[in-house]
Amino acid sequence: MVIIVKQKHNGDVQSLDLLNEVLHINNTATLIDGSMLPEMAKINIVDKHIDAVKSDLQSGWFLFPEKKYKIPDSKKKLSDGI
Amino acid sequence: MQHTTLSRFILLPANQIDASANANPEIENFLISLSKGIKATGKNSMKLSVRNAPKTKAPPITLRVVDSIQEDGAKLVEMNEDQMADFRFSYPGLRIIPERFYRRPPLPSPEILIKTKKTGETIAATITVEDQNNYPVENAYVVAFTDFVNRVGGGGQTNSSGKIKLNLISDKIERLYIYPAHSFWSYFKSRFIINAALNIRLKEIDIRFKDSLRFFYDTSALPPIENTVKVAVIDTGVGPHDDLVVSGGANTIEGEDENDFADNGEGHGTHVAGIIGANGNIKGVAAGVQIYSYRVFPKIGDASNFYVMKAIKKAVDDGCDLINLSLGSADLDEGLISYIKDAYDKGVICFAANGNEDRSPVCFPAAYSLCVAVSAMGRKGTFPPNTVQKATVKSPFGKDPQNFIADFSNIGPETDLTAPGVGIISTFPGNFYAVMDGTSMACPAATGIAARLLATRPDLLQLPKNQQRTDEIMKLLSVHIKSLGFNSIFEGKGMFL
Repeated sequence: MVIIVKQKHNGDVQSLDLLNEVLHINNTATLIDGSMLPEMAKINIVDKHIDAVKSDLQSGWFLFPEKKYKIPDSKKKLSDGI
Repeated sequence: MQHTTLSRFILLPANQIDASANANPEIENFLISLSKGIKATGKNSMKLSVRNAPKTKAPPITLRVVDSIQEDGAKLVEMNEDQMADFRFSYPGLRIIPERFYRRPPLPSPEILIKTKKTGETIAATITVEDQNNYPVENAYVVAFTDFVNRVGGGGQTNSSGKIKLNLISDKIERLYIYPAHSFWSYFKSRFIINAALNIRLKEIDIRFKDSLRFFYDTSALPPIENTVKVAVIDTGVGPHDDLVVSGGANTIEGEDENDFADNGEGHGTHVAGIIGANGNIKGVAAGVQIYSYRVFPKIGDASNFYVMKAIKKAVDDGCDLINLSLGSADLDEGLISYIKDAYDKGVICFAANGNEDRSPVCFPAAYSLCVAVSAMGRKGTFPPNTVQKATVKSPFGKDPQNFIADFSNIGPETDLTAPGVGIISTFPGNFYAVMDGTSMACPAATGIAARLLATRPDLLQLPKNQQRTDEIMKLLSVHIKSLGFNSIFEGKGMFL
């Protein structure tokens, strides 16, 4: 499951340690995009570890589901999307 | 016609649950005044003045405070939905959240699916799309509806010979739409019998044509803005186009070159940017503005909210004053909310498109109260006959009956503004020009005019980048909005005029 994590308090070293633990020690999630660290990151949580990871991270991180946006279009389309 | 629908909302400061040290102190004073007013008078109903253009009268906003969590914090209030846009512009810096009720989930029940079987013969029809010199037009999107209400028919894109073969269940066509990628106006025809072969010639775009945007804003006559205003376009990327200068930006898509924020080829972002700041053969409404491009749509696939959140943060860090978000979805996105809120807290206003789902509720993020939500309007006589724009004409019509709200535009009480979004000529990558329709086009029209207005106020541009700045900008904008005579669910407070 892909989620986005955002630090609750910028510069919080403890929460960075928490994320590090999840990613590199417990290996319960993998980093997909760390370009916004330390503030925010996109991670993939192994399905069976979702509850555990959420519990581990929620003290220091906001967790948001990844959502996708389509390019807006006002063209009329058929019911099957074509 | 005014409705008198009273609805309940929760008023909250822009950030957190009570007015904090970083917030605009006027917000705290306002919330406290609501509490004190009740204590002093014993009455929980009050009338609030409306911020309007000079000499423009509007009835005061009637607000009833139903409940309060704390003196400088959340208030449950009752207000006429028609007055929401007036309230948002007159008292910026507050989140306005509809009261919601949660129910126990219903028990699952068996579903009955009825599938219509395809029987009988289909009718083949080949449509050839050409220009006025009989040269084929490739990559035009063609769709023919035999049943428009249920969206049944055939469609696809023309090949290099300008042809598309359709298989239809009937030769009776209710509506035919042809959308070229660029350089031509679209085509529309209704209620006809289609033959085995149909040839359509498209009309070339004349960039001197007065579309609905240029009807209301004579862009060729507007002087370039002088003071530096930075506008972020978070989209498919911008350019290249000789009419556009991109001053900076970023590609926030994972795996792509961070410095490649040119258009991904789709053209949407370039068109949006042109409406704001084209300054060449055509002019946008804020020629002279500094455009920053943040590409969030990959070449294939949709934009992750992560990319959009990153783009908003980068736009704020790059010093942008306004952000244009011509994108949306039906669902709430808490992640995006946090960054839009953060932008507002740092003096940056986000403008977002209402969405194009045929008068559906306003989509997110436009529906979020700290975004300026923009619907699309059009004007008869600002597009050639037999174009797709003709099919967007739908009631209601404005005080001037030539004005209408586009049939595709989402509407609702979250709407703050309307702007031209039907038959808009703007830039397309590769030095082309295209006509597009959408709240995606209306949104940058509003963002661009906001940039032009902001450029006249160097004092506001120099304010520290905090919520007070954002609130002052909203107040500036509010006195330049005029109603076109639509109900507020269609136009919000009105249009920049």
